[in-house]
Amino acid sequence: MPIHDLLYRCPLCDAETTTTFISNQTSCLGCKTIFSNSIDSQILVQPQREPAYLTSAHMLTLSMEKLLKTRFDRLSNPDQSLLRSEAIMAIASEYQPVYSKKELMGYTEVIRGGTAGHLILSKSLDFVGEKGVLHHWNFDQIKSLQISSDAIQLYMQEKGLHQFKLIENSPKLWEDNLKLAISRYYLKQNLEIFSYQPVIKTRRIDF
Amino acid sequence: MFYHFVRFLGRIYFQMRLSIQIEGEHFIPPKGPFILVLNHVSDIDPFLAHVFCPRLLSTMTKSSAFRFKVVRILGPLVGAFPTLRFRVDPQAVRVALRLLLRGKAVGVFPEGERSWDGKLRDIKMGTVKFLLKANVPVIPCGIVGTYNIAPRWGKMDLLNLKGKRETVILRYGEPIFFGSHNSRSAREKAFLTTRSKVENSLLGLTT
Repeated sequence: MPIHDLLYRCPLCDAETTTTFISNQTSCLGCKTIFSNSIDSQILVQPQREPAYLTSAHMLTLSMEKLLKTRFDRLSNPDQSLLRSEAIMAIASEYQPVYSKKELMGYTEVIRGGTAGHLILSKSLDFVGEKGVLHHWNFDQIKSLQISSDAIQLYMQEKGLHQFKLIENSPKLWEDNLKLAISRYYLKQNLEIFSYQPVIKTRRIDF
Repeated sequence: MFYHFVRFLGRIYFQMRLSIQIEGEHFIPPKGPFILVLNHVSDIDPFLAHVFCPRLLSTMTKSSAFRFKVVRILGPLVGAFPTLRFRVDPQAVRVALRLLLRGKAVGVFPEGERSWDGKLRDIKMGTVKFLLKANVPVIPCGIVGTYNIAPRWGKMDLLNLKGKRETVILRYGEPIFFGSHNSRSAREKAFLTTRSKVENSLLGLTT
């Protein structure tokens, strides 16, 4: 994955970052800071008017997390769309066995076809095509979530594995936003999530 | 035979490309079953584990890797078997327990996926339950240095013709014995202490 998948928003000002194909470099569209991969996986931060410095991915993701929470808190209209991305949706239709010397070793999902549309995160998760809303899921229907290099994969209750191949956006952007949206949804019911995989698990919060 | 050949080629490549240091190799028993638990910060971790572990290793691998026919055929020949990540996969546990019964070594990455920032992620509940059910020695292995070479958000320079060979340390820890936990209630009771033991040992080996 390129660096702009990690730093999908600027950790300094929360503006969007570029998704250019410059190897291991991205820049903020707001404050114009440049982030690039340096030696030993340190990230070189070059603000426009301040001296450059080296920092770790951990520090930058921590500040991104804080900014994301602030953005969620600021939302006044609960129906407002939080995130919208062009995506191709495919559903795992069956499971294929994997053998070793005629011995069954396990299964793998078979994902075929795909429908183009927009994945929208608001007070629920929707997949919208040319003809309108094609799929609608409440957050409690999402049983597990995981990302790969270019897709987010969600396991929906009774409907199986859905894969959304993201055309432009970072899968991590979706993972972070969706995790926060789901955790806030459960929080309203006095529940907290303590595990996301293989199944989203919640427990009651004791005051 | 094929597995030995691939290990041989892998060993040549990694020793030319990286400076590999192996510590605590004497903790690996020459015979008998054991589970190797490894931290996961980079794409190359499973390859290093398979190539440099003194015993042939079978590792739980994400099922999506087996969607490609080549991996479906060759993966099991080099000790990879699939585990479904989006729901509890009893078949993967059955296969792992069967391998252990035959006296083989099984490798697991208890975090379930690569870490974004090089830090140890939460250990999955399912893995802890599996460790308790297996009743075999658990050997922690910390892989240090691979995050600097190929973090999740970066790319590995496969040849690195100009630069110095980076150091990677594979550090095996003392075997941990959790004892027999045949009933579900016994496993649930021992869950927290087991998880913290695994976490602490991995933290100790990676820092």
